[in-house]
Amino acid sequence: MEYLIHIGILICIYGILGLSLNLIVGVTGLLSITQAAFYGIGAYATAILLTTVGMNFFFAVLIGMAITAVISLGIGFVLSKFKDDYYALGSFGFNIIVYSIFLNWQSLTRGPLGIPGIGRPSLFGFTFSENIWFLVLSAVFLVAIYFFCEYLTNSSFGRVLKGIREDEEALRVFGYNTLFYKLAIFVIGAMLASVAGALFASYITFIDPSTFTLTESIFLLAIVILGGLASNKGAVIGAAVLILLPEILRFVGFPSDIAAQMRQVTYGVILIVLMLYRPQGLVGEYKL
Amino acid sequence: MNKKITWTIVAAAVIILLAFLMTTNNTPHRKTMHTIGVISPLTGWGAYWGEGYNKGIALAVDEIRAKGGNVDVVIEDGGTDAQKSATAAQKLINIDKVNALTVEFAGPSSSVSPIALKAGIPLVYDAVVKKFVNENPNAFKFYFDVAKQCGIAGDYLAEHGSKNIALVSINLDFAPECQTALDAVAIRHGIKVTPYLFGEDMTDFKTTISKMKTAGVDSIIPVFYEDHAVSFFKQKGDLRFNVPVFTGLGIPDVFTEKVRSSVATSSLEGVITFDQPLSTEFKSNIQKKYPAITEKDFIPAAYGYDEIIYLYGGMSKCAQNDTSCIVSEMKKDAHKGALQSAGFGDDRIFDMDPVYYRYSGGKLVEFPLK
Repeated sequence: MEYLIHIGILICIYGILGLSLNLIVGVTGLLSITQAAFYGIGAYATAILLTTVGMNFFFAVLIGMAITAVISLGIGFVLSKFKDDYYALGSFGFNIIVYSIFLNWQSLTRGPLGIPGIGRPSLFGFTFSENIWFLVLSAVFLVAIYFFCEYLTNSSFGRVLKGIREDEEALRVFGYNTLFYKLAIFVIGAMLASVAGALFASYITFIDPSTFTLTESIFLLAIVILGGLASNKGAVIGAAVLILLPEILRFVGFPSDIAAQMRQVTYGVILIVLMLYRPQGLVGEYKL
Repeated sequence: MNKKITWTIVAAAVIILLAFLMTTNNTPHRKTMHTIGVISPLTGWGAYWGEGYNKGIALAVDEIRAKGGNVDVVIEDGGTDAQKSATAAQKLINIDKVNALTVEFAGPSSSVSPIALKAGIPLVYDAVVKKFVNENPNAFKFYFDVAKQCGIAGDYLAEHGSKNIALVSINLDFAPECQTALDAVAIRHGIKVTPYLFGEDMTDFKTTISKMKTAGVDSIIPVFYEDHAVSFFKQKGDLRFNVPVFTGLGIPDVFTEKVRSSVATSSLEGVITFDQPLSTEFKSNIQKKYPAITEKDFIPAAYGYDEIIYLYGGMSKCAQNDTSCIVSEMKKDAHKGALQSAGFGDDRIFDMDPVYYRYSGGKLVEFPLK
């Protein structure tokens, strides 16, 4: 049961990350490959506040969101100068910069040693130390963020974002300040990713820079694309499939000498087949 | 593909997982008395270690069973990653019902140690970091004490005239440990120690070497792996930067056969390094089981072998799941295993006692340090 609970928690965390990136990539059409950086900023902010100041988890989440908002505003502003492939490359660069800061600002992040001993959240004297309660907490965050994303994408604000995705020039002609909308959704997406980071840090109780690499950003992009671009439901389904699939493959009787490698190959092949037959993702609105 | 089909796929995936979980309860290893869960780095940056490590584990299991022992090992890939290793640990503890765990490298050890502690089972971890031993009373530490080795290297170089030592290290968990030890050396001897840290993918050291030359560095302590070592020593030779070198990691990491065979002997002349002597019996047995095994796999194999032998040694003397008894027995076990060490002792830290070598005339010659 603990194993299933653990997987459930990971699905919730990655579901939040999928939702956050879907707002940027799926709804607005900005191909960002820097989401792991914001995930990491949230994780590090929470870890540092919990381990050094002993702050309450929920306050730390809010502060982490605020820090992420400020940083993502700067990054988003620079990225707004780019379009299409250049946007993706620029965001790629920011992920590397943030990763390098995690690795090298040793007085703050402890560099490659990482931050261990991160505490679990507590609320009104109740500590979420049992994994089942942590699953409940993660699920509450996931559901709240899911409905927030649903509200956002179906609002007039969300319709402008979809308009930017389809034809930004046309929106400008109609007098919309598209820079404001793109910056706003980039910052909102980053803040939501920081919530996932806080949950991750508190759950695993240890973080180091290796979790927040470019590979992780690409994995998050895979969640959004597989689930279906511009679909909040798709982002959660994509997270569930990509977390469950490698776990299911653990139980396939590959020869033990090559089991790990076979699992990776099979995982890759399944993703390729899915994309061949369902390029718009499982429940997506459009394809890239 | 409509929504119905999508949901069918997701539901099918969940059902398949649940079905596997239920059937796993009947797999044969659950019937055995002592089951050890191994979180091996078979993918990710630490995969170079995993293959040899698993070979040592397989040999240990064969030997225990040949002597009538009742052990089973379940190996899961930890991907050399904290989160993936935590998932593997949850699966091993809750599905495979293992009675003990082993895990490699600092990141995975960090996430697995609290899980093992909560499950109340013994853990053998292989990493530089010592603190899990303090946090988890059931944890046992393997691996060289990098801080100690860097301190020995720094003291030796300082006592032999070095005034300006360079620590050239990959920026991983052991870099700060080595740096702290060398800072102490600098204070003790009144000399200068400068760290030159680099990322995992670095192979071009020409700028670093030029900087060291300009800074008047007169000796080097390299703390990195084989591929870095090949490039570093070649480029150091090309730039004629002939200063003494004392490696901070041992032969299996920084001065491997590949390094010695692919770099000009003149560029390696005088390098001082160390290795953990392996028992000849272990070497012969692992070669018998795996005739194609290469030198680089000997040490990880020895680690895997000893971890299982020491764990089983404790487990076989105690009732199943009596962790305090197992921990107590493992502390007492002072037999010399594949790594020719004297066991863990009361501090639960594996007592490594390396032999030092100097590379001279294309050969490694044993070198009495003191």
